[in-house]
Amino acid sequence: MSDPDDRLRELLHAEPPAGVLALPEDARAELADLIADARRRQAKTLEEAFAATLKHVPFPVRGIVKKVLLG
Amino acid sequence: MTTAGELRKLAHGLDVPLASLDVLAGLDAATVRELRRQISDALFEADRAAFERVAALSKAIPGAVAAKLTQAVLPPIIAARVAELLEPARAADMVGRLSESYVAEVSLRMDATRAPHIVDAIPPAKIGAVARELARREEWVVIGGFVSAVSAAALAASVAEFSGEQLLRIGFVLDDVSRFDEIGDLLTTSQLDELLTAAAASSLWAELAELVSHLTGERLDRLAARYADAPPSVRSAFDAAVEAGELPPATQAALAG
Repeated sequence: MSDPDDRLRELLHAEPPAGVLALPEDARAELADLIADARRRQAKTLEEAFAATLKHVPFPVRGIVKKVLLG
Repeated sequence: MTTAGELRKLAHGLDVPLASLDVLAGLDAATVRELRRQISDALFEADRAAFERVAALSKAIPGAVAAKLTQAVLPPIIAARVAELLEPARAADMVGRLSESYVAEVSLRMDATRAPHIVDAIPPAKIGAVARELARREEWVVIGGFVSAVSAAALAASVAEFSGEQLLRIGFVLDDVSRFDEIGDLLTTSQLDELLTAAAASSLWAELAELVSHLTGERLDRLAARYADAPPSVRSAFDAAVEAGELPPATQAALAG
């Protein structure tokens, strides 16, 4: 998907503010990249945090932690 | 709130350097605020299930273990999103066990208006300590945003931590200007003297004008009384600022009674 407006709508699950849609195309594309990066980093950070939690959690509560985090 | 202030909040929410948002510098503050809200909602919903599991975990294990784990492995940006899902009592317990530095990092990335029940549950003394840490980091916009969410007791605990210069800088970016008089009631004589001196020493004229324009009645009278007693060097700096067009004459007139 290359149209920056469509990417913004998809990433935000909403209609971007009119002022944003009035920005130059390269600025809208850069904004879409920033949001997509933030989503990727968030997912990666969560994955790493889950792994680190399972590694650091004290043995007596490891079972419950695994059950809650991993289902 | 100015565009610069809103962009700073957005940078914190995206966890990116402020400079990476230069492409948005031409937008007005309301547009950036709306965009920030949309991004915040989208990032929260994108991983809601995972945030819910972390929140559930904090309930399933002892508070001390949960706090230790949080600080050891949970980056503040994730903790800020999970915080919205915590029960207030659990959040207050956790915050009480975390370092001021970590809570300040979380506060930077949290939109106080999304979790008022959490902010409300945190003991005033802890909020005061975190406010002091945020002021040390010169995070005026973040503090200005939290002022609208904190209780009267937490506001008092926070204001007690600020110097006159810090109060001027925070007042300039306050989201909720209706609390200016409440803040004015809390200021000590020493803080009033400090803020007049800081305005003169650091040319914080726009900040002072903002404060004076929102103070009413007794609060303004107290500040005017301190201005009347201010050292000649401070008063002459005010005169020079008016002459140079940096301080609105109306502000000085309000202080002169």
